[in-house]
Amino acid sequence: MEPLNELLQRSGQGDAAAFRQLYNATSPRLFALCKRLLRDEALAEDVLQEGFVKVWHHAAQFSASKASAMTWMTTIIRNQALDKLRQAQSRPTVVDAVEYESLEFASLEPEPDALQQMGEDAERLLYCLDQLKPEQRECILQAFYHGQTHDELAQSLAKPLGTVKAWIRRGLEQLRGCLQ
Amino acid sequence: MKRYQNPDIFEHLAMSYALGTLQGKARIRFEKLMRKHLYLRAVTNAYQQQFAPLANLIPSETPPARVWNAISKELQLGKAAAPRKSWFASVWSHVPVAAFAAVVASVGTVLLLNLNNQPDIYMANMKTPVQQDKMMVVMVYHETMEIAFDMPSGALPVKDDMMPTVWCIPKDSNKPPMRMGTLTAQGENRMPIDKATWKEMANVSQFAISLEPMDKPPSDTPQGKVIFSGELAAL
Repeated sequence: MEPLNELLQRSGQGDAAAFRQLYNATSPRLFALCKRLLRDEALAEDVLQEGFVKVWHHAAQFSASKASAMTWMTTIIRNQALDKLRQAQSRPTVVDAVEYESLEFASLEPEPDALQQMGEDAERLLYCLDQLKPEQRECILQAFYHGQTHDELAQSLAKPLGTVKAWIRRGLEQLRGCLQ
Repeated sequence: MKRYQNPDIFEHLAMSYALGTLQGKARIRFEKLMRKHLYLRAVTNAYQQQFAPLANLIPSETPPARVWNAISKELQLGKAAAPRKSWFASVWSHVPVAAFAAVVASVGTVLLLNLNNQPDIYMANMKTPVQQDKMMVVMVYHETMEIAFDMPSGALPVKDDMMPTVWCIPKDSNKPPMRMGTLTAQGENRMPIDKATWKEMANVSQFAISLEPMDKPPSDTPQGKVIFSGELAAL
């Protein structure tokens, strides 16, 4: 069994020390995601805390046959962050210094080792993202990492709202076809 | 309601929800519908899971210690969750000793952003070679630059004339094992590592512990019996 899955399952049985190990192993990645979504360190810390409390309470419902622990936890914590973003009275603006915005990773050829280590689903997702037009891919990735609305995307990309909506719609349609 | 029964519409909405572009009132409306309709929830969950690996593409960042302290306080975890205290002791009696999969699904994705990047933590689940009736966890931390061993009491044999010695077995079978140091049967077992050793973890396939005779000078290869071994995976 995958180590993280085991730690999450033990957390579901009330094993606090396993939960601590799980936190040590996963919180750096999840915190980075929260910071990008919320663009505010204090809010990101709050969301991480609330998210892990939720993970502890729901860990018993985790089923390793349906998803990996990391995927399951990412979904919980990202939703928590999106909720917080929605509640925020004024949404933070996206700063320019976000180096992954024009993500070139999708055109990179991963090393065989990296390919082997990736889950099949993640590989498929990257392959499908690579098939999108650059502007579609950028919109989709920005939405994922920044939780931006159509309006905000249009503003940050300096494109008409209708254009951005169309890019996302077509991008998602294409992604859906590819992922299936 | 028929609108949400049309797969072309509800799948697009589910994807938008999972991605985060469905916001404001539309998001709340969709959440209400998801609570009512299992199929909407199932499709949305599937897309959320499909997008989740994107989280692995961004560089990780360790949160401040106060976050864990607040979690621990809120959940009243207390002493049971002191950092890196052995968690095997409490659950040992019902641990099914099965081999961990060597590959963690989320491991490699981050390498795509920068192929030189390493993960922050490696982990190996080690077990006794034949009976597989005992196990311990090895964590290699970049943040603290150390190797930490987490084991139930009694995992290591107490023998005055033998030293439990830790080895890293390279992925390249032409290279010799690396001798990392020795462990004690009692107390916390941690080993500091330097930058070169941390870098080398990317090329390690397995951790092993052998019992080496005390009366002989340290050897470059294991001479004694291997009592634990396990594959190393990046987290």
